[in-house]
Amino acid sequence: MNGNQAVSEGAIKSGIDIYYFYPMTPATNVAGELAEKQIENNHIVLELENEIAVINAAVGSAITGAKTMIGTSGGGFDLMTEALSLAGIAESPLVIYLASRPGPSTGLATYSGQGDLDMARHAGHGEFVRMVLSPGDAEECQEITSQAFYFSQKFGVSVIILSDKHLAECLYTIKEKPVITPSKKVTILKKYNSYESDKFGYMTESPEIVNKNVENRLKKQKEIEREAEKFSQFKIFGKSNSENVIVSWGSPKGAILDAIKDIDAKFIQFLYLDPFPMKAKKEIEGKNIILVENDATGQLGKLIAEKTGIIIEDKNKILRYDGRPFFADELKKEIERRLK
Amino acid sequence: MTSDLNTTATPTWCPGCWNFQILAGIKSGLAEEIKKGKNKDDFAIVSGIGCHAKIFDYINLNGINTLHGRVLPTCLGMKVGNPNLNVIGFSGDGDAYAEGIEHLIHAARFNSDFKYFVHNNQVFALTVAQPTPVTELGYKDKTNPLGVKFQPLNPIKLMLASGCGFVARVFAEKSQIEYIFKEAMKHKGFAFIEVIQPCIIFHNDKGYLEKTYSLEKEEHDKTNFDAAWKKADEFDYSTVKKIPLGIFYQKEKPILEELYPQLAELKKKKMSWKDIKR
Repeated sequence: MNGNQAVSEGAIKSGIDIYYFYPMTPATNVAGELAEKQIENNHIVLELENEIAVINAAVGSAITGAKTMIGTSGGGFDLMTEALSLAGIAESPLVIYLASRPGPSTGLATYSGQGDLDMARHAGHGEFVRMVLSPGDAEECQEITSQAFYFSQKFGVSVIILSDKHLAECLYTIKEKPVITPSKKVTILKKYNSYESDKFGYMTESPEIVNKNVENRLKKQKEIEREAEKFSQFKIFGKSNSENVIVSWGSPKGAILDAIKDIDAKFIQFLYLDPFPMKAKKEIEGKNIILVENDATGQLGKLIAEKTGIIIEDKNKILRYDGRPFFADELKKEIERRLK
Repeated sequence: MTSDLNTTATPTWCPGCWNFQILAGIKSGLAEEIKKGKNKDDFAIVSGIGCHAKIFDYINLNGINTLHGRVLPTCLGMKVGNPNLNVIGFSGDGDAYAEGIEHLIHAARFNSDFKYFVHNNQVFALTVAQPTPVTELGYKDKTNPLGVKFQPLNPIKLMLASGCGFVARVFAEKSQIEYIFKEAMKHKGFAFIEVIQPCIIFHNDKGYLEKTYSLEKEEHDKTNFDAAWKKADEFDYSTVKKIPLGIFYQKEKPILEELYPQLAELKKKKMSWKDIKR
């Protein structure tokens, strides 16, 4: 099963009602998988005129109470960002599958890359809460998709499932039965607003109400952080007491696991990127940290620095940005050169 | 009956704005539907951004005051989410013909069963007087001191060409809104209704009303596409000779909600996805 199939499987197991899309590699196959099963599973898959229509229709469906998901890649996600901000203020639940490929722009349209982490974390104007989750294999694709539905429904937020071409289209063997987190549909149709609004949904400019709204919306960050403690936000592999700690996220997982089989290293895989699992800090603090990422600027490294103050040395960053995935043998050599 | 639809929000439209007439006509049309047996919760409204959008605050119905230009996909999403909802969308001419025009063409093609009112005042009134794609040639404002250089778009022709099954234009008088609301509700499918609503501050076309005439009274055949096309050509939004009002064209065709068995089933069972337990 490949990552896209696993995401689709996860969506079905999570009780998806509606999937909207506009074709874009490498996300398109989720639409194909879900469309094939739409009659059998009784959900619906619709292709709309562009990504702007896709996300706005999704907000429309979500506020009627339907479990709604959309999928795209970086360029399509760019077009969606205004409505991501709308979902933020309206607090409508939304699951977004973002399968990356190298940018900027059309970049390398059919190759792989992890350069959209910064975008996923920051896209959309104004200040609002969203989540960014990242599976590293097919099993995690199913689990993370179900968690995305769970959090989006429970907290009325957008949850971005961040994948890439390598994960989306690589075949994996499912070794253990994925743990699916069930989620209830809790959204009800009422008056929603893109403007600041009072408790009835009418537009307001009252400073008191605006302050309260802003604080209530942002309060969710803490609530989500607390709830996220119940989930596997990061995983530890390899030699747990090693001084060498490899940090990564998403699709490089497979190559890293193969590369470190017989070397003295611990591997921390981040599955939750927003909220950032602060408990990971003690696992990496004071260690020889080696960053492995399929991007040119080390975006997870920047995230770690932002949240923990830990700066990963440039010489310890193994970055690949030619659109190709890491291969275990090459990666092993790169890691070995940086071991202490 | 319209009192149930009232809200406590104080209208901030300019005194004398034609939007008050649109609001009164819509509320009266809704009250009529409720009298006939529908519930308030059977309806939902969607508005965009612009003067028209304030209508969202003045009608006590569920829905969403959404982004500029995105009323149509939002309406479509609500219909797909719950095919039993009666969804009514409101846009301005900036919303419908500039920012979100791609959705207009596709809404005609998808033919989801919701109704769409475009408050056309031929100007960006909320941002104070910039021209829209339907402002007449030569129009000047602070941002266009050299005057508008481009022929206005003809939305009626655009909708006809896009295969829309209900293409209408009315003037923003309460009685006309009531009439067209009723006709649109009877029509199965996407209904496009342009409301000529001169902005009394920035585009005060006092001469418009006397140039209008009723297509119905002239016994226009609304099932005749060629006749509709000719009538659509009579008003080019720039030079005002005569402005035909009423239904230009009407033809029922399959609606999106019946073309997908999943949605047809929800419609049949009077359910929405929210009611589906898995």
